[in-house]
Amino acid sequence: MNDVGLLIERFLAGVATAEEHEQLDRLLATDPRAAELLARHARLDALLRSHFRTERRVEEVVLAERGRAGAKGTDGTTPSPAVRRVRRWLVLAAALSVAVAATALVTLRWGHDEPVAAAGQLLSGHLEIAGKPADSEGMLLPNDKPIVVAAGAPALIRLADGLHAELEPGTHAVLRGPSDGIRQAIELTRGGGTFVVERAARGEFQVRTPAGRVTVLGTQFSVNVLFPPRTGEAQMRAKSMVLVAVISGLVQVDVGGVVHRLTGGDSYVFGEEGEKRPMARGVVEMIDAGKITLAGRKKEGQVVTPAKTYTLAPDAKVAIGGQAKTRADVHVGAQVQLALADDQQTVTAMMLLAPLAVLHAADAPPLPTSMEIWLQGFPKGASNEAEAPREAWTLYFDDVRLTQAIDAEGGKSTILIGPEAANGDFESDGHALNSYLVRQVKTVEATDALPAASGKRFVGMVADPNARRHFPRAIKYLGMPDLNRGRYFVLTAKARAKETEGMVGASVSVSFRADSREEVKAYHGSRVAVTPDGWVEVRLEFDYDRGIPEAVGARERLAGLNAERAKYPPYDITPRPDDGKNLALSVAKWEGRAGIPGEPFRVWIVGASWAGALAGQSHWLEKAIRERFPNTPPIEFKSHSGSGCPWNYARGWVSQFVLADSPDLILIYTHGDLPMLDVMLADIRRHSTADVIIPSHHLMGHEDQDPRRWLDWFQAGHGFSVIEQEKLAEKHGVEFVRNRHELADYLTGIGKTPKALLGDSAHQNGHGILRTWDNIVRHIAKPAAFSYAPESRERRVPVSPATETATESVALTGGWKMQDGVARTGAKGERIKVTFTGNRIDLLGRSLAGGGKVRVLIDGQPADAAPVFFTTPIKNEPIAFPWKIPGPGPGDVGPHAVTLGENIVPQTWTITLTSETGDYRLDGSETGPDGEGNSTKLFTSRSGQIRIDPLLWRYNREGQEGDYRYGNRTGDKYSFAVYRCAVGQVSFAAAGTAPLHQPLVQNLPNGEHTLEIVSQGDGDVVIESFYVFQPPEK
Amino acid sequence: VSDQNEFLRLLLAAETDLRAFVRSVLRDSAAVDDVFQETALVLWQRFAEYDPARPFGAWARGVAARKLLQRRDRESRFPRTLSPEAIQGVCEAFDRMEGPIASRRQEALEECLARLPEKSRELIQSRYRDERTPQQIAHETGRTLAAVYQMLSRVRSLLEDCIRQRLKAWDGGGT
Repeated sequence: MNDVGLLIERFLAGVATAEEHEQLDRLLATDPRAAELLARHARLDALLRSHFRTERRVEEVVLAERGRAGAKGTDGTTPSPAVRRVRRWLVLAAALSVAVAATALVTLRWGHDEPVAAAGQLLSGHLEIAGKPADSEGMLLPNDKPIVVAAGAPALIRLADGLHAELEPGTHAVLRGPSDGIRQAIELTRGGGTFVVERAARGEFQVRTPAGRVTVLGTQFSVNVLFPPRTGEAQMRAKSMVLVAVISGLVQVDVGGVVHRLTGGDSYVFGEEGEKRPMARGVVEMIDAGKITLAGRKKEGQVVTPAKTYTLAPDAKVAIGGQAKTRADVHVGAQVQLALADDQQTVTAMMLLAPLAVLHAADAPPLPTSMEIWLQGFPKGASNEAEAPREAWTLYFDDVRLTQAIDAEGGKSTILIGPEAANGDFESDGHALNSYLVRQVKTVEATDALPAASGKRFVGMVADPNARRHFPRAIKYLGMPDLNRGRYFVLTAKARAKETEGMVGASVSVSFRADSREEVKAYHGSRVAVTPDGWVEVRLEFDYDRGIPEAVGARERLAGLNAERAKYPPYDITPRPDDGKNLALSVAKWEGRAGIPGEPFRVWIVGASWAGALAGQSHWLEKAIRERFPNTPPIEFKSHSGSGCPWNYARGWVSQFVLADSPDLILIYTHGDLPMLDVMLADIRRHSTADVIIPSHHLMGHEDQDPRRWLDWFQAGHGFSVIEQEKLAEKHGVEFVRNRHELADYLTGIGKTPKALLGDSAHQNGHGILRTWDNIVRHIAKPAAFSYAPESRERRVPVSPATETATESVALTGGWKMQDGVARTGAKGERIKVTFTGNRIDLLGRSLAGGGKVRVLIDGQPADAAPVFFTTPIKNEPIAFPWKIPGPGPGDVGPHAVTLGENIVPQTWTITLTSETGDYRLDGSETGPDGEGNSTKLFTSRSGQIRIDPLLWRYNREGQEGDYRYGNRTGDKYSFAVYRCAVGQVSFAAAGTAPLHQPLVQNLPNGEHTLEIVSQGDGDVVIESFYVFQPPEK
Repeated sequence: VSDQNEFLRLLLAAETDLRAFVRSVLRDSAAVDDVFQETALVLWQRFAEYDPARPFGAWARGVAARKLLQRRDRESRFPRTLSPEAIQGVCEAFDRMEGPIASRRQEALEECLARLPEKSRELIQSRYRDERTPQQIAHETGRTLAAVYQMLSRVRSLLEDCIRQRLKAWDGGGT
């Protein structure tokens, strides 16, 4: 061993003398070979330590935290360094872990003293809070204020720590903060709800009712408050009861000083004195004047609970959400709970249950707990391109001020950042301001040559010249302001560069983040003015719920977009005669000639990360649509993309959940195997009326030095022919964008190669994203002729006068009053029969005070028993990534879709990996264990409900026989829900008259169907028309 | 969530090398753990700003180096570390060595350990599993300290060569 080797050995063994230390230090600083020797040595050292487990790895900590049952708070003493280390691990684990949030979130708050300002968040439905209407989805809910769920629909609420509550219509509740060791509670005085407690730690959540308390020990359960039937047992007379049904897990019920523990499947009615009665729960198979039959249940094809018939007590109470109802409200197919008398046979009360809105819960954004303010300045000559590194430059900020309007004080503002910053004397020498890609932050004294925007001092930042594609920025972290005080914020700042360098712009952003650091909401502002002294002024105004006011936002957005475009060479985006020929329905909706009034125009962008890059700048599409079609309704953008995800798997996302969201326009941007693109397009065309845009793929880094390829129609860099791709698009009536060739022409014209449009070897930079959008928006146009008529896919079918066409006919029977283009009745049993062609039908009418209800039948059976279903996105827990398969490794390892079979029962399904070689088992929350499969083989569940195709399981296995590598490991879980996409009843009741739109039945076989609407006679119903969707392919 | 997934994936892939880097410039094991954890937190806090065009490992080492120097400058009792220039040199050496992710090297190591001669494997186990210092090993085996260093160095070379060959075989499809 030479001297250097020995030195390194001694250094790594921790026995080097001071002299040896210095000698090695000098060598490492000056001799790259010595540094490499140490690096090699240290790498192997770490590998060996890791192998022999002398260090605790991140993965172990995260996994260990997932298993922890609870976390303890601090005791106020100064923790030891070891404890601090453990806590930092916990914070990291908390930040990284989704599944473990119960433990993790609590832990995170050790270092986070500011309480969450809100107790919960409304995800869907309508509420009154302290007597005031509150129906803004996403709005935050306060503690200690009476909440009433409006009639007509349940309210889905998300509380802290992963709890979801679906409160039934008419429910009266109050959210309560921490007390007596309980972190959060809901008091129910009327009505009830279903509660899913995935994350709360043991004993931390409680539902309180007049009859008793239900404490969570980790579970799903429902609680209802009910006043007893008038002829009930003596001891229960005139007292309230609480109905508790445990779907899974464990709860503790405290009533009348008696403690009961219930587990999954238990359903009981409890009286105030602690008495407990059994309760039956199930789906109504039959009901008449004196009897009710609940359907039986099967598991693995075997009957585990037979159908059972009960006797209805003459005065058995019926309630929905605590409100008295009649027996006529209980219909076949409804989920009910039955309170039974001691004979276990007589029903003393019936409760109708609302289905838990699994989809909404799964997509719910987290609660924000902090704010981040970003300030950025762009120097002249700055480029976002990877190949154009720049010199260091100095950026100055001053007059940074963030205010929050306080509603209770007439909108008077409180200052959240400032006043030190606001008066120009920046706070604490820049230390209060974090920075990114900045070499130095300093306080600068104003001079005549460099005057402050206001005051005498401001902050200066020296940008790091090595920071290439990102611009340095100053970041300010703030606790979450109390949104109950006010939701309107104004952020202003001034920025400038050193005089010799100058600036072209500046921007500010406000981002609201959850404890997990996930961005909940973000708003962006840019340059609004330049002061006489040369400071660039930036401004951002927004309402937390409603966003940037149109008057403020539109002006700034337009200026920002124009400034962005001005950075690049001119580009023609004038539509050509044929552009838009396959977008007939979209154009009709943009012109107000089609679509459902009040509904947004939904755009879905699906594909790989380069599709995600487009989605991030979808404002280019919005701008083009609005400029060319000013009457366009609100546009809603949604996207789903995965690392390098090709058509082969992206098609799974489309069938699994995109089509269920009723998109109006789907943009698909990735590559893959052409037959898989064909399958995806056929799927869209058979199930949806959406228009589709497909741009060919941009040129990638590996094609940079091969100009012959750029205009070659026979390849797109991914082994398939662009000609064939375009033919497929034509076959399915897709608007095809010749993006690849248009980009190639452009690059040739400006004398550049594909890298000019790339940020790395695969992804577009800002220039590339803009040019791709430019190529797409040329097609946002009304051509001389469309390839199809919009009415062939979506049609409004009026009832007054009744429609009679080749595809639809409407027949009204009974005493419907035909007036002002609507049909109205208050009588019972009056019918409208609609024969239609398509796969979906919606109702358009008016809701009104005193409105009644109608029952809905499809093809002769109650619609809520119709075999029509959608599936939710497949969630993966714990985080799965391909642990043995080399490559980019996306987060979307696993199945991208399942196929539904027969005898479907709506429920949540979980796939659990049981081996390191792709074996799994499937469990349904209702069906139970439903078979075992392998990720590489076609699987049909035992009940026949679920099929899983290995072709849609990404990273299931790679390699050759004898040397296979699997993408999953034991314990990986995937879950999704299957829900019925039809309603059996529509209520027209509301506080006042308003347009009513209700999808009735979706995802039917694409063909002829009969819909019947039957009035219930419990109030007026007003129907204007039906809206039919007919996908173009069968 | 996708951010979390991606971050976790990148951090796990880079973890062994990141630890190796911190350990190569700082010898106090508690301080190594501290710096590693603080670095991981900063990486997560700033993950939105991470430029995917750059290797995650290089970015992580840059953050770790800054964190380390920051603590060294601020804390008078911070354990001895290399100079900023030497740290820079080591950091660059690691950058030049970016290669297969640690999980693949770990797999290769497992195979290579199994192939080691018995005596060599015992030596490595004594050093890393039982956490004996070279001095203790010398004392327990009756060898000189220099001989133990020589042996350790030779076994490490064997392992490095073996790992390199295994990775090459896997990538090239050979054996």
